Amino acid sequence: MEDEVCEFLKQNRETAEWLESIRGDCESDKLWKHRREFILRNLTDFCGPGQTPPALLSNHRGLDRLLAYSMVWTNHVFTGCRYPPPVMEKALKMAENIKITDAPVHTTRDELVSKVKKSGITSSNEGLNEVPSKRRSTDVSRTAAARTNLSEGLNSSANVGCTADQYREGQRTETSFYSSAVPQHWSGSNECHQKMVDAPRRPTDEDVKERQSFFNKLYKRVAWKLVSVGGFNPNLDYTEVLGDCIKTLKSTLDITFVPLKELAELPQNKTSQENIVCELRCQAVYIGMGCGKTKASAQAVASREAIKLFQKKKVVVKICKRKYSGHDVEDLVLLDEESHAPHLPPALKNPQDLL
Amino acid sequence: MGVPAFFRWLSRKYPSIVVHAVEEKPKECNGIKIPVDTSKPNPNDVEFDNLYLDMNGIIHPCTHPEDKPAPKNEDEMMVAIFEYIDRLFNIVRPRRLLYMAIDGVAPRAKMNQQRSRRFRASKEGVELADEKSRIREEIMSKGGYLPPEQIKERFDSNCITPGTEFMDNLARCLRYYVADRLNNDPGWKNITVILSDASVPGEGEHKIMDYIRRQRAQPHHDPNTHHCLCGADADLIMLGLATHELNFTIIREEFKPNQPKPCSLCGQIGHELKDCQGMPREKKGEHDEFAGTPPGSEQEFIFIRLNVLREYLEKELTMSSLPFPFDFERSIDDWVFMCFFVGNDFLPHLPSLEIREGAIDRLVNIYKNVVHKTGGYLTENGFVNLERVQMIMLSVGEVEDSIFKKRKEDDENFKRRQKDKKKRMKAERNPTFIPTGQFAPRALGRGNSSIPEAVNNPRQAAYEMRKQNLNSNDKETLSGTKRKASDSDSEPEPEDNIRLWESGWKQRYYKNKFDVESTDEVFRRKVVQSYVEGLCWVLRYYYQGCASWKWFFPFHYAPFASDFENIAELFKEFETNTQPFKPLEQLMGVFPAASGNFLPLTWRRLMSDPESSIIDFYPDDFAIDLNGKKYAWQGVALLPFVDERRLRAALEEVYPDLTPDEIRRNSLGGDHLFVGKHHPLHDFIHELYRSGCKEPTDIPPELCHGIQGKMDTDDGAILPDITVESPVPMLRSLTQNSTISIKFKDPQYEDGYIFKAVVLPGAKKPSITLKPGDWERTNNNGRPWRPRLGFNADRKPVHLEQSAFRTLGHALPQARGHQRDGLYSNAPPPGAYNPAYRMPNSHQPPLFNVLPIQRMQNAWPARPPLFSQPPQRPFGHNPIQLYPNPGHGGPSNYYQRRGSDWNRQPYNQGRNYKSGRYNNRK
Repeated sequence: MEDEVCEFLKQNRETAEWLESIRGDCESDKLWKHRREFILRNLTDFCGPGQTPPALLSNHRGLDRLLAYSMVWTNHVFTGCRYPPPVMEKALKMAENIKITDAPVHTTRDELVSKVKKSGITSSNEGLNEVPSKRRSTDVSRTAAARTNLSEGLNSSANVGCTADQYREGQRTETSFYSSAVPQHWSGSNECHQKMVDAPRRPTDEDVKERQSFFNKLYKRVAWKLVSVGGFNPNLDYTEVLGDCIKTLKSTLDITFVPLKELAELPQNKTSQENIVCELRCQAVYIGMGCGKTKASAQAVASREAIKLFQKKKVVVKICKRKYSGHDVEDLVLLDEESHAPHLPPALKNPQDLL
Repeated sequence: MGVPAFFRWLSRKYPSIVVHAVEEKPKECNGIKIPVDTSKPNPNDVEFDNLYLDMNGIIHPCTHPEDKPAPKNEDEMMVAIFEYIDRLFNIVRPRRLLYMAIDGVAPRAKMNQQRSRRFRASKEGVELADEKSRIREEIMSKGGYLPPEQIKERFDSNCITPGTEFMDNLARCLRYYVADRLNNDPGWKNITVILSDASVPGEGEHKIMDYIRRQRAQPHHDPNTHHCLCGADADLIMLGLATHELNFTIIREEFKPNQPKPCSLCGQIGHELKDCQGMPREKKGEHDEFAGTPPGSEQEFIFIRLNVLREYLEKELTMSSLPFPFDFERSIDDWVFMCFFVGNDFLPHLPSLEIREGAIDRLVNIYKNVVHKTGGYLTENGFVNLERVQMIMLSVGEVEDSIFKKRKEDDENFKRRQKDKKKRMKAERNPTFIPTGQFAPRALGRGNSSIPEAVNNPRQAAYEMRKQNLNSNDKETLSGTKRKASDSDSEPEPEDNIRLWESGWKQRYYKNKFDVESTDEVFRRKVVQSYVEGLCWVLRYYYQGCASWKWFFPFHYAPFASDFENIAELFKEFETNTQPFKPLEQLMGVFPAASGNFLPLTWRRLMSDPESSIIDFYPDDFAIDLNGKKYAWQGVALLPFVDERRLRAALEEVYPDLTPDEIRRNSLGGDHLFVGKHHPLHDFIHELYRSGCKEPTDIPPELCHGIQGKMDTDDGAILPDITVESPVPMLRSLTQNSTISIKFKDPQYEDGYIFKAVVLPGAKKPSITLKPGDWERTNNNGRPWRPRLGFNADRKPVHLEQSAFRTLGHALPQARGHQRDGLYSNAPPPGAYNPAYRMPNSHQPPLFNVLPIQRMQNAWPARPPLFSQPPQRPFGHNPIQLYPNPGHGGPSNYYQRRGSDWNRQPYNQGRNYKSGRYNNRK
């Protein structure tokens, strides 16, 4: 892509010179390289198809608008600014084919102030090379001791997973349902929910107990599975490992996808590429979340997060407050025993109608 | 200057520069307030000639105060500002000139800071309003009580920016105020007032400096003028030093830490917004007579005496055996210059120089070492000698590495100590079965009394202990407290990926902060060049005025000191003849889209319309780099810079949409001069109007204490015998006006004129305040040095006579060191039967019982107050008893002076500067 630009500039000396006149005095090479590409790609749309682009000092309105958008885009990608949605959409669309390899990571003011920590959600391009928790959990006896009888209620059929595609539809209805709080909305497209829900209810200690024993089992399964595949390493197919383990316990993994921009509480990603968020649940308990370019990569990240959790000394099911479409709701969450006050990303599904 | 720590550092290092202001309060007689006659001598034992007000330091606290409820509307704000100026006037009592300067359009170099402040303020305002309405809802739903929401618009403090309607109103109100006081206040009778409103370009304090500079350079200036400048910014100290006037004092509000702030929802003191419960207001005093602000909560003022600071600096900077003659005035300029490295409004500070780590001392030491090699001073009249500066910078650069390592070490030591302390505190807590309070076991022979104290009130104590056990019956104590996982710091530290203490820090810094590779020398050089330009610009700004309205530092971070190699070639000259922005243009440059309501409709649209050609200036949200700090407001806001060409081009299209009023607001104005009818200049000006003079006329120097400048008649002037309409409905119009106003222009000098940074001939050095180093050696008849506290060297110190000591001994607890069990130890236990403690007036609630009992036992009605108690205690039925009649109490010498000395007390307490004391933002 870059070569393409260089090649083009070599052939069009005039345009190259003109471009240099536009470069800001204090723009770094990297920033300029990207902005230059942005300007070139959109030049004809804004300044007409003429041979020579308008001079900078002519205050050409089209050119100024293009420059403004080039700044919007670089400010967004490299400096971490956010603009109103229509502006953002347009800028990102104009930059559709530009590849960015190493955009810096920033925390915006709103994120800082509202304490939505980035750590709550992991994106696929960070942490892949990270060494997982040092404490390898081989403490099998401890897990065994903590085991209680597997509750009969935990037959796998009690938990029906929504497939991802169904979900998109369902999610919207849910949102409207919860904002208006009118119960008769339980009809129509929301089939998969309907099957298992009588009425929305809050998780209870009973629920926790029930699920704890299941997860103790799953914990062991994951540990053995990892041993068989050679330990936790970056080359694992996390989705497969997690899926297999859950399958052997005759349960299902509940996978939810939502586009990132529908989640107001989450930090929006800079590069516009990782825009699918995936939430994993098992037995209605939240076990991990991740985001990525595609559904598959998002799910891989989320699975990795979940497996990382199983690397800890012990996992516990707890009732925690999470955000769901702007409100605090109580949710069943799988946590590391030693984690205090976890930063939980917002839920993608209303936890209360999973029970 | 945004260097909150600077003043704290300065006042700690040079404590004698601070003098507490004495304020005479208006008295009340039969319900009529008698204003203070400010024509009387100044109670501070000093007379000031000129008072300069940096008005923005007054407007902000008056329009959105932190320590009291906000004024309801704009009119109340104006009145609050008037009252504040009155207070200042009463303390300072200038005799010649009052100069009021409101911030006008600032140089471009300041715009980045203004932008970041306003973008943040706008967001903070919205968040506060949201939080308020959320909590209000919550409280109301729980059945709490809150005063009904006032119907008022949220005051957006962003409107305190030149060009807004608010600023225009303010200027009008101030003209009215000045006219009123000149007509009616005896203290104002002979003074000249100059008002430089927001339409005059330049920051307030720099307009003041410009005025002083231009007056000093003309031959009629009185070199012994005593200046007093009001404002809280630390850079006023630098500015004051830069004038080289010998009598220069700064007055500012004293910052008291941990002042109670009223809850912004219910207006009560004692809790914060987030803890508001909506409880009904407590009655203060029996008839609620103590409602309103608690006594002693009013901000007090302190003077900062720059002549004393000069004495300190002389001691510190004087160097012997220099290869060139030592000139103290030049070394002051160098000191001011070095302070800029540590922080100023226009440049980010160097990463290695942190004022809290003694950066200025370090610089001064390096300066003294290097000055032998440099062969001269760093600066002259505000121009920088870059070769010499380079030597200083590179010397700092040599130790940069160790500074970062030490910083890390200190930081870790601090954290470890905190942790140890926590641990220790935990370990020291006794198990619950050991009794506490007066029954606590005590080691023999400790404390200052050998006899164990008698147990006071055993029933109450026993009751308390039983109750305590009841409470501790919960699970926690029975099963032992669950230990938390080790090393659980409640707040996770923000990750630091620069790690300045590890090798490779420079590369990481440039990569992380500027997003450039370590190999990119060209870019790094650009940053250094901009910074060098910045240093030159700032110094010039302080000593000569604004060199370029256009220049600005185009990065968010500073380079390292060690990068300042070969800087002499980096700076040539600034672009000349640059013009400031127009007020509305500047508004477009500093406001976020959310504050667009201060702008005309079509202008506003440019801030949000996707079709706008400057849309990139107005992000909704922006990144904040905490840069090692803890809170969002301390971090660096990574806002995009404004492209001046595109801004002007975009505005060209909407200029035709301005209404005539907006065109007026958008124009640049001038200063106005006001005098009352007794002023010698009054008739002269009146004559100018009568003769219809259209030429700018010089002020005759003999009529106005040597003040020079040009006067030009003004169409909208205030004229004698013409009613001045009141702009504030609650104040009356001035029907019998005798004040006159006229346009005023500072003396002008030809282009390229250089203002000399020297002491003027004829200036008399003020008498010394600090103890001379050779006091013991010189013959002073063996008298010990007596420290000077106030302005007056011969001020009589307060002393007590024998009878006063007797009185004190009688009123205070007998044995000073002997520990008493507090105020209520003599109170009968609740529901007790022992009638011996009861006094006849026992129908009163127990709280009010306590003190009257003690007093009655003493049977001397005109007792002096118990000093161990804060005076604001609600004394129930007879508060008057508290304040003894001076004629009655015996040692009258003490009590007559008490009024002023009482005022001093909070200051002494306040000297215990807590950390974070000056951290409050402006």
